[in-house]
Amino acid sequence: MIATKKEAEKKEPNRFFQIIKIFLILFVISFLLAGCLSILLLGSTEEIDISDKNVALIKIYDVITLSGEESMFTTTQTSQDILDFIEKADNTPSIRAVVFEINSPGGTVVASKEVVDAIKKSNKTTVAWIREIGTSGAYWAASATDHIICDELSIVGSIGVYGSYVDFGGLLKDYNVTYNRLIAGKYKDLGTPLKEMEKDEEEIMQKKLDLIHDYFIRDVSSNREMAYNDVEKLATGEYFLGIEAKENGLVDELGSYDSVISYLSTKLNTTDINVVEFAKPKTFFERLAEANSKVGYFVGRGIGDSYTVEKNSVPMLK
Amino acid sequence: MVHDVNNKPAYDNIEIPGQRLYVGPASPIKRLLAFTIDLLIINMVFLMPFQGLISRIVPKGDFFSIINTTFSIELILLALFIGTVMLLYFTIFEFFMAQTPGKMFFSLFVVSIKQKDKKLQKLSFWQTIIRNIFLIPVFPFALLILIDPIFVFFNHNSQRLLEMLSKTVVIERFSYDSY
Repeated sequence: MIATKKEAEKKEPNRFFQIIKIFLILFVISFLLAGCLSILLLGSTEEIDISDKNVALIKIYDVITLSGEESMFTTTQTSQDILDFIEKADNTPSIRAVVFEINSPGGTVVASKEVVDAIKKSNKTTVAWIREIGTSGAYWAASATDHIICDELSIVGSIGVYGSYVDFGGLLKDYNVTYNRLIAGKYKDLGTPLKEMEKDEEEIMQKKLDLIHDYFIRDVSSNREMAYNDVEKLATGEYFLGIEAKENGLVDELGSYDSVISYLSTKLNTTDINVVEFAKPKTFFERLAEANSKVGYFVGRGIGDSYTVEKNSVPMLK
Repeated sequence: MVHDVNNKPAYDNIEIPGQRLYVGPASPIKRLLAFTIDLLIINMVFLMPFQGLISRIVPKGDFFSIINTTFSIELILLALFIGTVMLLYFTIFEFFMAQTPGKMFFSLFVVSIKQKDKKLQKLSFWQTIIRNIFLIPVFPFALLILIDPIFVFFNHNSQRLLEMLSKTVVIERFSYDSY
């Protein structure tokens, strides 16, 4: 029972202060959530002063594609990322040379070609430093540089193209599933895995691959100043170790990062080599995706790549 | 003292209106207006201070990069941030005060109905969460934004679907003059 008016007022909480308290709590919570959000998504956006840097390092890692096929657990580098960095290097007066650190098995045809064209257009001294692997489209990009350095045991070359895919036509027949072929244009469904490939279709596909292969060989022979026939002999799709690549002229030098610096010192006529890496600021999810991508790549490379290519029926430089 | 012709106090027989109290299901229009006011408050007080952060995240993609998974992840996280702030706003206010600031404008209250004795009671914390879960902008909760309000028009208590599930009702309480 309420005894006095004062006691009655005490029991009734002041609604205005209650509202203010709740607003303050909510504001603190939203401030903390916003902090977490910025850490997760924005990464570091600080602009580094590169006016004292004279060499740009651009990494060509993983499969080179036009669009990023990123998920929570894998990441692929887009050709546009590399193009942007090359343009940035070209537009930075202090940068005199660009080093391409390559550890890539290659990529799709057009994405690789875009990188090659951008390297050729660059007005800076370019060096390709092949680490573990620089094959196919990645080697094509390396061939466009002024100087290629790789380790003795690096995997280099694999100048070839493939558009292989799995034919599910027989499997569909076994399960009484019919592929109803409704097309206008005889070769509209060329390359579909749902039916057996006809002889004439195979000839057409092969012709396309041969054209791409021929283009690849011509460009490498031009870049490396080698005779077409000499490159053609090497362009069986075979990959070479660094030692073999040096013998057959696919690379210029065997060495490591020190060799890169040494070459640049001579070329740029300075001992003061300051390297800056051009890279996108990584967010938390990109770091997580990169770590998982490296693990996934080494474990499932062969199966995963062939499945991806067959699914898309896109000729790949491999 | 005023007297009439018979010398009786003149105000003895005067009829004046009495104060009556209406308590009943809230009008859908008032509820909608209250919700709109709450959204405006959330925007001005809790989201506008972080406009810089939001604008740094959103323009990183254009229309075509929306299909890019990385940018989609950023949009989803941003939507979750906004959804969480909204959910906390409605939940905390309704749990502690049975009203949000928007509802205060229209004298609306959120109360719990106990099935057994039909007595209106204070909400439990889980009831406030369940009735406001449509504010979370991820599947499947986001679907409730469309389905949930429709039930208001087919219900004598003007309850949304989630209010029926959480056994809560929004009532309005106001006094009026009546003879």
